[in-house]
Formats: sequence, structure tokens, C-alpha cells
Amino acid sequence: METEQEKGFFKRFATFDLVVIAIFVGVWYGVQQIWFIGLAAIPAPLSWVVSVIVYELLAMTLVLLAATIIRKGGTVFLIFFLHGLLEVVLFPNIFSVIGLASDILPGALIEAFFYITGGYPNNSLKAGIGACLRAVVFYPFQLGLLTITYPEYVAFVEFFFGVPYGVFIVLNVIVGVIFGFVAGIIGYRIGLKVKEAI
Amino acid sequence: MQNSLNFSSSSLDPRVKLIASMSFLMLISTIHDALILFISFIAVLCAWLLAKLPIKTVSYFLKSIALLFAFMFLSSTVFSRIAPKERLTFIEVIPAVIPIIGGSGIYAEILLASITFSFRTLSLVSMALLVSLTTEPSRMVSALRKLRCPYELTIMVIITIRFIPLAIEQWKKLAAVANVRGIATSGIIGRIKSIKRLFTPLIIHSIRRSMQLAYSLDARGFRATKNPTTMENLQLGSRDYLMLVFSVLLVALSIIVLLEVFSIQNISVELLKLVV
Repeated sequence: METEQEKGFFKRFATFDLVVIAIFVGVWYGVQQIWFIGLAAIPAPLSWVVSVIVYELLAMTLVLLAATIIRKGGTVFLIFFLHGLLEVVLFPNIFSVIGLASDILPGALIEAFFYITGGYPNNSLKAGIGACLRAVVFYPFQLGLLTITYPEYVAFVEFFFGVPYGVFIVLNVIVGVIFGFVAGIIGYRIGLKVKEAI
Repeated sequence: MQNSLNFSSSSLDPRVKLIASMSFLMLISTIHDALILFISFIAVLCAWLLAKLPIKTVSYFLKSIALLFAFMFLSSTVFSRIAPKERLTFIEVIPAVIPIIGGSGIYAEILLASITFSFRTLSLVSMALLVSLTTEPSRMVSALRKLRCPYELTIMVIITIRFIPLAIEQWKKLAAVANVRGIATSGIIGRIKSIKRLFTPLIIHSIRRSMQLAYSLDARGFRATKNPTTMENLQLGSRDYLMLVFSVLLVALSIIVLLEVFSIQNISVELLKLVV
């Protein structure tokens, strides 16, 4: 007889899948914390670029790695959702709620891309394209919201980088797409090796 | 930091804390007066005192909050592009008699806007910190269960929270091993390269842990029953109901302020006009 827990979205995932997702999100969150403390030592304009690169490489490698190991629809969305939810649970405020929203959007977009193109990636190119989609929605949404929640940030960026805020968003997207693509490929390849090993 | 805290079992229900903090957030988002926002911030600080947190923790976070305030205030004052609707009142910071740099100053309206923004952010951050510091993560997760969050998701949140410090510890260990072997991790390029070296063993370790944990969970009957029991059953007490009533009042006040039933927005502006 089917229990209540076996119905719905989580039915497709085995216990191992859920644990892998949870632990990978823990790794993502933990390493991200170490890195952002370390970024304080780097001068401001450069630290932003480094943070985009490192964040993209770290996050999307882990996401695609987990997706390749588990290969079940909804994995990517669940990882992003859990990451956002964690921020809300650990530090409940308006910014973490915005963070949750900006985590859900890329998760949904990448899932949709994989669904439309016939399932989870079976080659590096698809993994890379899927991964780079995060930057396409994340940066315009997150940086766009900052114009409302922290308007001074716009002037700060324009002063520091010497470019209009719109150009700054586009630059973020470009850097994010490039490194997201690389991260997707790396994650997929490591995922294949791990899958073989287990 | 959280391990050193003594989470009181008699503290408010986490659901109530969440509702109260969101109501408070709603109120401070609707207020645009520096003086009232300052009073709100003082009220949050009083709540910090009532929470009976360890002095070490309070002083640590107060220092961080003071730094945040300084940063917010300076960046808002320097980079603010708010166009005041009324006339601009210039405050001379450096007297005109001083050569070259003399005569420079700031506009009072921008200064007021910066103070308003800084106190709003401070109130928000200190309120969120208070909720996080006085709530054990497991109680927050129990609250999620009570809010009808799927069982699997709550378990995943517990696992993730448990594994964040372990992941950090593991990363530091691997970095120490890399250092002992003479692999340089200094500089930006070195740091980026070090990620690749540390990442693979970290992932292997995480996968091993995942397998062990999955076996343990299955052995303990994870997802075997329809309604699994919990260690602690959250129940609303009289203090929780009182706080809920207070939260409703906060929301009502926010709506009143939003609809401008009575004007409390311009107290600071009026004071400023009197001073300048």
C-alpha cells in the first residue's frame, strides 16, 4: 500500500538521492561562506568579479554533479530550492526571502530547459548550456531588485566600476554564462566518474 | 557561535517568532521617518536584552552591527542620488576659511535619508539576528513541519544544517593538508586553483557520507510511516498568543501608516527644519 510520503514530488527520489542533495547543498553553503570571508582581502572591484567566477564555478559544478549522479527530474530545482530555504531558516529576513525567489527562478528555468530538450544531460554541451542559464536569470533579477532595496548600490557600482548599472548587469551575465558553462561541463564529467565509481 | 548559546526551552514558538519578525519587517518597510526607525531599532535592542543572550555574543554582534551602520551610512551619504522634493539644505562640514577643501559639505535631506536607510537596515538585520540566535535550528525545522512542509524537505534541511560545519571543517582540513604538502594557496590565482585540488576529495568524502547516512536513515525506517513522530511537539502557549496579538497590531499599524490615516512620516523633517 502506498503511504502518503510516497505520493507527489518526492516519490521519485530514493533516500540516497535526498541525502546527496542535502549534503551537496551543505557543501555549497559551507564553501561559499569560507570563500566570501576570504574575499574581504581582495580589493572591491576585483573581489566582485572573483566572487561571480568562484560562485558560478562552485554552485553549478555541484548542481550538475548532483544532477548527473541522480538523473531524476526535479533534482536541480530541489537543490536550488533547498539552498534558498536554508537561508530563510538560518537567517529569516526580507533579503533571504528575495534570495529564495532568486534561487527558485534559475532552478525552474534549468529544469524547463532539460525537460524540453529530452531529459537530464547526456553530453557535456547540454550540461554546460543548462548550467549557464542560471546567470541569465539570476543576475538581472538579483541586481535589479537591489535598485529597489538598496538604491545607493547603483551609484556605488557606477562610481566604482565606471560603467552604467545596466552594463554592469550585462557584464555579470556574460561572466556568469561563461563560467557557468565551464562549471556545467566540469560538474557533468565529475558526476559521470562518481556515478561509475558508486 | 550557535553552539555556545543556551537556547531556552521556554522561549517563544519559532512559528510565532517568524510571524512577529515578518510583521515587524512590514511595519519598518512602511515607515520613512528616521526618528521612528531609530525608536524601532532601540526596541529591537531591548528585545535583545530580554532574550538574555550571552554578553560575549551580544558584544560580538553589536560590533558587527556598528560596522554595518558605519558602512551603510557612509555609502548612502556619499552615493545617494535621492532627489529631495523640497529645498536642499546645505550643511557645511569643512569651513570655507580652510583653503582648497573648505566650503565642502553635505545636504541635510540626503543626510536624513541616509540615517533613515541605515536605521531601517539595522532594525531589519538585528531582528533577523535575534530570531536566528534565539532559535535552535531543529526547532525551526519542527516549525516547518508544523507549517505542513513535506517531511522529506524538513529532513533535508536538518541534514544540510548539520553538514554545513562539517563541510567547512573538511575543507579546512584539506587546505591544511595541501599546505603541508607545499601547495601554495596564496594570491587570487592560487586560491582559485586550490579549489580544484580541494574539491575532488571533498566530493568523494561527501558521497561516502551520503551513502552511510542513507543506509542509516533507511535502517531507522525513514519514510516508512505516514506520520512520523518528532522529539519535540511544538505547542502554542499564552505568551505565543500574546505575541501573535502584538504581531496583528503591528500589521494593522503598517496598514494605517501605508494608507496615511495619520501622518507620522515627517517628524524628522520638521525637527530638521527647526535645527537647520
